[in-house]
Amino acid sequence: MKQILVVDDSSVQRKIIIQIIRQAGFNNDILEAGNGEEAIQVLGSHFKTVGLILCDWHMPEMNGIEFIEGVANVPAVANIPVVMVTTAGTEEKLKQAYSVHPNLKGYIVKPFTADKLKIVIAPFL
Amino acid sequence: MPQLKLVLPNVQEQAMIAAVKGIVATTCQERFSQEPVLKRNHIKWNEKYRMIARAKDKGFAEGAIVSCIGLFLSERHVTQNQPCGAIILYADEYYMRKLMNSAGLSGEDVLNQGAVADFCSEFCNMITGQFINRVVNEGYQEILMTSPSTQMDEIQDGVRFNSDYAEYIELDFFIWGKNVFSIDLTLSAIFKNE
Repeated sequence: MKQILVVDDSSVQRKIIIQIIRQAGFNNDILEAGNGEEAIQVLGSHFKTVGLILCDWHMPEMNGIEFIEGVANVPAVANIPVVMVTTAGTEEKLKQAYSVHPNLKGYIVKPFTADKLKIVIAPFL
Repeated sequence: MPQLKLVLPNVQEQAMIAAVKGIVATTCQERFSQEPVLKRNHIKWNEKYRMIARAKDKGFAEGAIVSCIGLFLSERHVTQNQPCGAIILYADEYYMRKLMNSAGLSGEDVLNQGAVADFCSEFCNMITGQFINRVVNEGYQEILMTSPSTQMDEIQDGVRFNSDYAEYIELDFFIWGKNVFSIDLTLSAIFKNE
């Protein structure tokens, strides 16, 4: 079963996302990272087993957009589905996200309902 | 042609109220006891010429959490530390724990003070993001936001603000009949596509 990588600097937000994933009936193993740099380290040792990345935008050290740009440029991980989960919801931000990662699989604006998250991530789990 | 315009106070208020109502309804499924109370105040600043952000000035008991986010017009302004505004959240710790319960969190997550501060940071983050989305949808330019800075009782060094506009809007929000949190918003003129 594929692992899910949740990248968000708020540990509370990560818990809420994980809770929704569990409530939706997905029992996948979940990995966590507090920013882009940590996420790169996690991916480095789990790139063969991670099947979905849920990524926040605004984070310290390395933000989400820098992280997914890096992911898009590394062939070993470029095909892992990425879904942004962020407060940045303007059209300009959406365009920016899709421009750095053309294969982005979804864009969820916080706050979100459990149903919304389930609908977006279900196809990849 | 884009013109430099002040986001009308009523647009700011409505965008902020809609942002907060949406977040509370979606995240916590709680209802407000009454409509938010609106105040317009002059900014008070400290010796570093930064806005004073002190929870007790808003009537909150000791132990309140204060979270602030800076607003900027461009990366250049971020580098030069020249904000166009700021959003400050003041929250009662006890009632924020209740809101965390309503959001589905329990046990250690709610008892731990760090987790409550983290929840307030994320709450402030969502409010600011939703506020920006709404202002941009009104035709105003994109606004960049910083990561939240969260402290107990007050932001010790004060909050940077844009001195071209020395007023701010205060909104007090009530749940369970109590002023659970308040938000200060200050925003200078920004470009709008006409």
